[in-house]
Amino acid sequence: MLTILGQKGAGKTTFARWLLAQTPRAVVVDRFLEYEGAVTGSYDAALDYLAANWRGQFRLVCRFTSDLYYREMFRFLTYTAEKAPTLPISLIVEEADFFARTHYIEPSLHTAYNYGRHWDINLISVARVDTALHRDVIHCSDVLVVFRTRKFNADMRERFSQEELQRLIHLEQLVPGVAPVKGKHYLTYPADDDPVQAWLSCQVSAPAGAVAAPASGG
Amino acid sequence: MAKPSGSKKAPAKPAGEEKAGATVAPPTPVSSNDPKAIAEGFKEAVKAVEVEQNVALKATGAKVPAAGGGGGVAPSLVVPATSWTPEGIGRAGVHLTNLLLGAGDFELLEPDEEKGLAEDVAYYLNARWPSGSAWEPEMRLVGRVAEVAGPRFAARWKAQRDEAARLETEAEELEDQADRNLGVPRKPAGPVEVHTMPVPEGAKPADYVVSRR
Repeated sequence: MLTILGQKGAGKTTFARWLLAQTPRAVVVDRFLEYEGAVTGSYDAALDYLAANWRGQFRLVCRFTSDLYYREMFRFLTYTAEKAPTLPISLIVEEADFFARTHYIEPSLHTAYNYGRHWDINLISVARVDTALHRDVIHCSDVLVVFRTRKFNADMRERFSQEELQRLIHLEQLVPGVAPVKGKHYLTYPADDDPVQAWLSCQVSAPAGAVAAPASGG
Repeated sequence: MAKPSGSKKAPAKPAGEEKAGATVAPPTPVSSNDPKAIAEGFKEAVKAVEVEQNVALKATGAKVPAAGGGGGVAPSLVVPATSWTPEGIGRAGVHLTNLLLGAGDFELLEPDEEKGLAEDVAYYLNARWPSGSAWEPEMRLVGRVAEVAGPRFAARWKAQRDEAARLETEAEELEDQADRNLGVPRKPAGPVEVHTMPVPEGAKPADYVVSRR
């Protein structure tokens, strides 16, 4: 499970999109029109698509109009992964703070965070650092990936030293195909973990013709 | 996770519980390893909640490809969901703004300002609360009421303010003049009543009294 944090425009979604390209079976919660794939705003169509491709490859991008459909989509994924186990499934949640606020987290998504590893559900949560993200999201993450940011919440202060926090302020924006001048786009916690390797190792097989990875840091 | 109950019918939930994040159990027992049956059960459960909560299912008619047996990623189908519009929520924002401006006796919006405000209100809500666009018909009605009632309320409030100001000014002027002793009586003299009585013969004017109020 990865959690990607950073300020607006730092490259969080760019990095998540690159990881998505290496993911053969993915469901994306995209409320702001940033991802490509089998896009739908219909809950019924999304479920039909998943059920039809459950044991194959799929890339579903959900843009529902009500929280009800997102909740039920999370519950469907965890329920079906438990009842009909198959290949690993990846769930990418953009603006994760929308579903996992400080004092409330969607129960079905909470289940995915806590028990998803038992059902081969991989999670990527993308959020801005200055938003109120539920602490369980970070506690359940295997790797914390932090892009450029100027605000630090309590969870970051617990995990990063003062020197690292100062470095976060001066990180470069992630631009696809452009190597960072200073050599780093993001910092990770734990520092010696590679989020790209961790994510790829959870996938069954990468699709042919994968593009080069962005310059990594950590 | 709280697993779905095996009940055959989803229990009716109060309206507030849906907003509090309660989930709905599938209404029918589903096959343990058939994703399609599980999907049908979930769809039925959501339909029951939609009917109860009056949440319209956005049937966009999107078509997804059939199971391809591992034939790669499905092609992109962009199916637009509902969204806030300048003609709906935008105009509501314009009329509510004009209501506030009129109440404060400010100048109302210019036509180009109205157009820009309408577009920006719709853009902001699409960015921050896209799922709320299901409430746009209600907000459009609120905007229309504000358009009709706003000028009337503003005119009434302005008239009340002007009247209060006028009365306050008159009272202040009278008090000021009395304080400066400019010869203007604090209160104008009221009418004089004279009580008459039969005058005895030969009586002098000083013998009878004239009362004055």
